[in-house]
Amino acid sequence: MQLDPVHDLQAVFRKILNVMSRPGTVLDLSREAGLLDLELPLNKGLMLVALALLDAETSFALSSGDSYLQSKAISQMTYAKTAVLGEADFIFVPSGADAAKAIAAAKSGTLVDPHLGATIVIEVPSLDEKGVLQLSGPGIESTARFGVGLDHGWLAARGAKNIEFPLGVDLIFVDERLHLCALPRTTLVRQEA
Amino acid sequence: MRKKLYNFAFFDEGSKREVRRAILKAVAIPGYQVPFASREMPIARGWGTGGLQITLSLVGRDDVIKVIDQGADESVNAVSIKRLVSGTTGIATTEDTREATIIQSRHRIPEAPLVEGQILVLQVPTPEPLRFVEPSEYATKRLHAEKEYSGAYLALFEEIMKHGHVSTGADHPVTVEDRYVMAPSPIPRFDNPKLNGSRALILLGAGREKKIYAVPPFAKVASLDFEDHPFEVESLVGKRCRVCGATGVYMDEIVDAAAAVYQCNDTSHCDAVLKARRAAFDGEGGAA
Amino acid sequence: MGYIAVRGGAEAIEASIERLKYMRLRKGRILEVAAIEAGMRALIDQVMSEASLYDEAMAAVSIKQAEGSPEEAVFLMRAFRSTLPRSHYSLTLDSRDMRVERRISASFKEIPGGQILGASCDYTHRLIDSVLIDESEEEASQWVADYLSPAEDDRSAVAHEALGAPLSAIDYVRALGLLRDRPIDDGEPRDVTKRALEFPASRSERLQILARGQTGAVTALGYAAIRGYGATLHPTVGELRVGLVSVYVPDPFSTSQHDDAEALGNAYYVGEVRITAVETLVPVSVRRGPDKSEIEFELGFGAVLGQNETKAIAVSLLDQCLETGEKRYATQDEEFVLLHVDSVEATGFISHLKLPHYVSFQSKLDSVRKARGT
Repeated sequence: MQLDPVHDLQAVFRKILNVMSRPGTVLDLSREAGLLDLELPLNKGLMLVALALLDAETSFALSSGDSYLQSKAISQMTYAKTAVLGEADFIFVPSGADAAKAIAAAKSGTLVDPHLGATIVIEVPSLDEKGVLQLSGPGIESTARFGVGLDHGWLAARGAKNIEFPLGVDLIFVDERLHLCALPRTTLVRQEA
Repeated sequence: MRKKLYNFAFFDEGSKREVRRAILKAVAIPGYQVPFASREMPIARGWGTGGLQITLSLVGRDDVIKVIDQGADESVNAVSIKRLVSGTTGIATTEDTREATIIQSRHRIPEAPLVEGQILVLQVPTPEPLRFVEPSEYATKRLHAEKEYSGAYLALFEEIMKHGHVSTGADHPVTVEDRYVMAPSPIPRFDNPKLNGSRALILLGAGREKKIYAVPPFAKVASLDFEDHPFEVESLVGKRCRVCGATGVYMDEIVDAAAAVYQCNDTSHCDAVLKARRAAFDGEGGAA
Repeated sequence: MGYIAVRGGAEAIEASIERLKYMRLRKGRILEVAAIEAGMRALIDQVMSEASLYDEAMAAVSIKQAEGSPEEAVFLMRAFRSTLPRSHYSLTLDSRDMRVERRISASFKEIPGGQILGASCDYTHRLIDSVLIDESEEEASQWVADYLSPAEDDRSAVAHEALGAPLSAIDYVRALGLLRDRPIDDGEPRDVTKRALEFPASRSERLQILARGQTGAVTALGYAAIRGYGATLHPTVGELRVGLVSVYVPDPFSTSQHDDAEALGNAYYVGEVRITAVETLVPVSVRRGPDKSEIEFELGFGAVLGQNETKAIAVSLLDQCLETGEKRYATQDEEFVLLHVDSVEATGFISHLKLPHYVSFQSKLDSVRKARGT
């Protein structure tokens, strides 16, 4: 595998940090994905996020039932352990799976330990910086816009889950062309009519 | 021959991942202290291991790093940290704030405004702003959970009652996004306003106390105060740098037999001002 | 001039480091790492225990580099430990499955398997022996050969047998029904070096922090506890064991969740380590009814890497103090004990007072002046 576990995963992490700090920013993982020259049963962007952030100290879940191969791939490459949806530190939602359901089931931390809220990594059709969703909050100078090309059931689920800040979940999006974007729980999202 | 014992950026990838996960959660919950399993570093606890772990977990081959302590690039502690980072990574270092992609600092925010593409890493001795009101970690975690900050306000109030004036020095507590009260690290009050609406991401690390927290870009940060006793920075009246002539920046007071003299605390800012003045002087056809 | 020159910080540091090296070399004698490893066993055990890194060779190099300072040597070892990837946890080891080198009990005159004094300073007279000044390697080799020769009585044989005796002194007390009944806690232990400590701490976290605590700090607090500032008046050492335990690592891809026979069957032996394990009996008064109290025994446990007996006993005392849940004394306050016994943290924060603090000092001056209207 050509992917350098030190330098290329550092680059992936910096991109994740960048999009999490500046919601609405869309970055590109295709260079690193190209170096991940393995046959994988899931989106390489999802796997890059897993490689950058997961290990034996964390737990994860796949959001869909028939995901044994995907789960095994992540376990074997990261040593992370599987957990049920409601307890997993990270939840992966590959294309076709139900993002709203994953969000609704995810743990959102406690008032004493809000950092325990899950990180949910969702594969979407396409991310773009001009979509119908209007964003505001920390990390955004005034407002930003983005779109994910997915039905907005997930948006309602997120709104319900994150209603009592600091409790909440944080989302990372990867699209089919390996673009990367994120929504921390602090971002206010409004849907244009 | 010295055997190569160490990974790029000193510690193992597992340790970096632990710090990276904590950083991401810190950004998602501005001002909240995320606990992390802090590793021992080759410099002592209390000397910047928290900031160092953040820097070493961020850094890549293309980064350029600036390290300052008390505003100075040449301070022994800043030099030591800079050598450790560049020694374990081979990356470029700089004293020019504008050239740096990562700035690690103890007790100052640089005078030159930071921009997108830069990350400021502050070294924190005591991350808990309520610690002097409540010694127990168990208790302060719960005060933050309940947004119960009257203790912090009471402490300020008592100072006003006793001295007629708020008498905090550096590390004056702030509220982030109207939710968490945060210890900004012992930066002077003069630097507190720079936290508000910053264009750069600000990360804060306490290695010994094992906490990482963050102020995302453009976040709202307000220093604790009262309507009738608004927050005030240190007085700059009558202070002018004896080296470059600048005013309106944080100054060091130099002990001198005759009278108090002042010098820019931010040494690289001072150099830049001096250079600019000399260039302007030469440009105007000054000394032949 | 003082501490910070406008220029010259880097040169000053270089010069300081060279001066330090000069101090180590100026008397013209170099310590061989092998000599330290052979002759400074106690310091190596202390350093490994506080560093929570079992590596005698690395500890010897650290001690050499630190010129013998335990504070510095532990720091070097801990920093090295931070760079080591840790992918596995061993199977649970029972300190009774030990190749015993020393085993004593203060609670009973005789215990099953016997009291084995082993190698200990306890029975020596602390008189500085000037013979050590001119000891030669030839004399030493001859003495060892004589000691190990089978013609004498079997002094060395016993130390290399596994104990094998099923009953420890504690089991005996338990069998008499005198040990306070506690449910078995088979919860997964937490590793504070991988997961930040939060309060209330679990018992595994407390024992881990104490086990890797600075020997002096842990000893001082244990001493305070038995002098009256704690819950452990009149403790007795039920059993103290020093010896070698085997370490096994389970198959990383095994699906077995527990340390069961299946896991052991698939496990890999990685080596053995010397540890000191102590079980201490503490009498406590337990209310049985409105007018009736009974005395039962609580158990304090301490286990540390290397032969570090004083520390292990102190750990067992503090274990018991922290289990009581009361907070009458500082030794019963979890935050007070656990947050202040770590060598690297304590020495680091105290020594940080040497760093320049003139920015915050200037800020405070400004406040003071404002308040005085000057």
